[in-house]
Amino acid sequence: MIEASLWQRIWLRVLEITPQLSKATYETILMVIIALSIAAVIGIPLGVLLVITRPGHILEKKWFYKIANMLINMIRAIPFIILLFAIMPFTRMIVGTTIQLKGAIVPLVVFTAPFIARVTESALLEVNKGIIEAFLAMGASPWQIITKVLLKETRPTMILGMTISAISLIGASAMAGVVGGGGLGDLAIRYGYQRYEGDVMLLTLIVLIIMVQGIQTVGNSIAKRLKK
Amino acid sequence: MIEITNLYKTYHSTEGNVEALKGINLKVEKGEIFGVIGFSGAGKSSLIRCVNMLEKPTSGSVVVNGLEMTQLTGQNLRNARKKIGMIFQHFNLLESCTVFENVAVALELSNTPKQVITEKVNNLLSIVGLADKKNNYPSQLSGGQKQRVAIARALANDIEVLLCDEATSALDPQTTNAILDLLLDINKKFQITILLITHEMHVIKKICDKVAVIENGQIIEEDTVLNVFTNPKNQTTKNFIKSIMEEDLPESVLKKLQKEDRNSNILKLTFVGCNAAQPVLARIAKELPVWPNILSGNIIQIKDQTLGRLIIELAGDSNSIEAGIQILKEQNVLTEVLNYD
Ligand SMILES: Nc1ncnc2c1ncn2[C@@H]1O[C@H](COP(=O)(O)OP(=O)(O)O)[C@@H](O)[C@H]1O
Ligand SMILES: [Mg+2]
Repeated sequence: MIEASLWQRIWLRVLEITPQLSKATYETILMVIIALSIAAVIGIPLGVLLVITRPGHILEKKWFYKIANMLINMIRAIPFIILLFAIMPFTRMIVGTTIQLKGAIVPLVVFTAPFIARVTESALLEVNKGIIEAFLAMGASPWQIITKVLLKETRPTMILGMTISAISLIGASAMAGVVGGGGLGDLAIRYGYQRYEGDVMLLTLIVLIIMVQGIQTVGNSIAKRLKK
Repeated sequence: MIEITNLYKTYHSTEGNVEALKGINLKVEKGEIFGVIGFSGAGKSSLIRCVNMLEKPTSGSVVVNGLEMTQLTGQNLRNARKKIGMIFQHFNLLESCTVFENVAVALELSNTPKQVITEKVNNLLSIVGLADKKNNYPSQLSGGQKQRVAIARALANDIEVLLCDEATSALDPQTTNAILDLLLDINKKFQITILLITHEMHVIKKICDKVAVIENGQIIEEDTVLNVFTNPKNQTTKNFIKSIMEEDLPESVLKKLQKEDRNSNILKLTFVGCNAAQPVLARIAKELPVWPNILSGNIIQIKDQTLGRLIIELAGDSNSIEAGIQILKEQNVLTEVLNYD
């Protein structure tokens, strides 16, 4: 009897939390998708530039490489929770607010774009120099080398890199919740930490774990399919 | 077709400067297969890479099909490069693309329409004998097959010149021969001029018309392959020839000869065509009181000619031996007296 009532109570509690939980999940997914897309649009070209402007590469520009390299290191050295507050003026300048989804997206992008740039850089550096030379010898332009050699050859590695980026974004987006960005992190902190409702925290964690697992699984299987 | 004049290439690095090429002059005629041979570090790769400007020459001129390559930049250079194919020791294929795609990509670079690409790639793949592998990935191919894909890719843009940078050095002897046959084939079929570099004399003798020997960034000997084989001038050249054609008598034969107490000379005879020496030797033996004794014999194929090499002992009195050598020389048998002391 006691058993049944326990399960019953748990079930009722889950039903009670579900609307908030699904809303928070939706917000997190939205945050991750938007931030990842914008960060990729900035980070991938940046990563490509970091590779091709290196000494001895197809568009050698030493000063650009050095400056970009230093800038990325600087941003990457800042813990996200500090970055979040440190760039608030910048965030306000860009989107007019530092809270809600809009306010959270900016720091998430600033955090993730350099990460993606590094992921792209290390993937592209794995492309054999000989292949690039073969294409130069065939009369390929720098743009053709980027699209038909560098990015094409590294698709599996890039997919895995984006998977890691997405997962690190989930973590960061939870922190962004602290400044009113919403999402699962926000929920966990508000209920679990501030109101001592541990069960909400637990459910939030379960959803986060499922998300991370899901993304990794999908990423791995796409990468595997692309790999030859 | 390729004319290299006074070519210098110096690499600058933190450890100092390396003068890889020091005044190279070279002329490759249209339709010719020209081989450059040299040991590792001699400057072969630097030389061939200066032809399509993968390496920018420090000074000098490189003219390919009438175009001064050193003056070209941007789109002009890319257009010129499209007519100069290149294949490499390590094939350099896209691992993520099928055989078909690897060849097609060369045509995509010049925005060829899709139908034309399909037709042309299929045709190229049958030329190199890989029609049945077109949907395979490079990782599923042998070294020889990979080089065939690379050759098909190089041919895609109707090239006039093909540069081969140690194209067979990663292959076993049998596969090497098959690839060399293919190169010879496309040279004949499409009149493609081939400049190749190698460290293997076998490659030179099998397909080249002319050869240059490079050492320390300089060309130390250059001639038709046949001339270089019959009459090498430089010690390095001789060493390369030795690698495929034994010149020395075996120790045991030598010892036995030295024990014999008779007046004789040991001669090295070189002749083109395999039967050229036999009648002459018979004639000497008949006309003069001498006894030719064949100690070793060697016949090698140099492209489409046969080169024979005999080492004989010619015994008799000194005057007769002298007269015999005279007859040999008159009959265009290259004769060299060997001294074994
Ligand atoms: N990129 C480079 N930087 C510095 N030195 C180089 C470079 N490439 C080649 N060299 C040097 O130039 C010389 C000739 O090299 P290379 O042309 O590769 O010879 P080979 O192909 O005959 O082995 C060697 O001493 C080599 O170390
Ligand atoms: Mg080399």
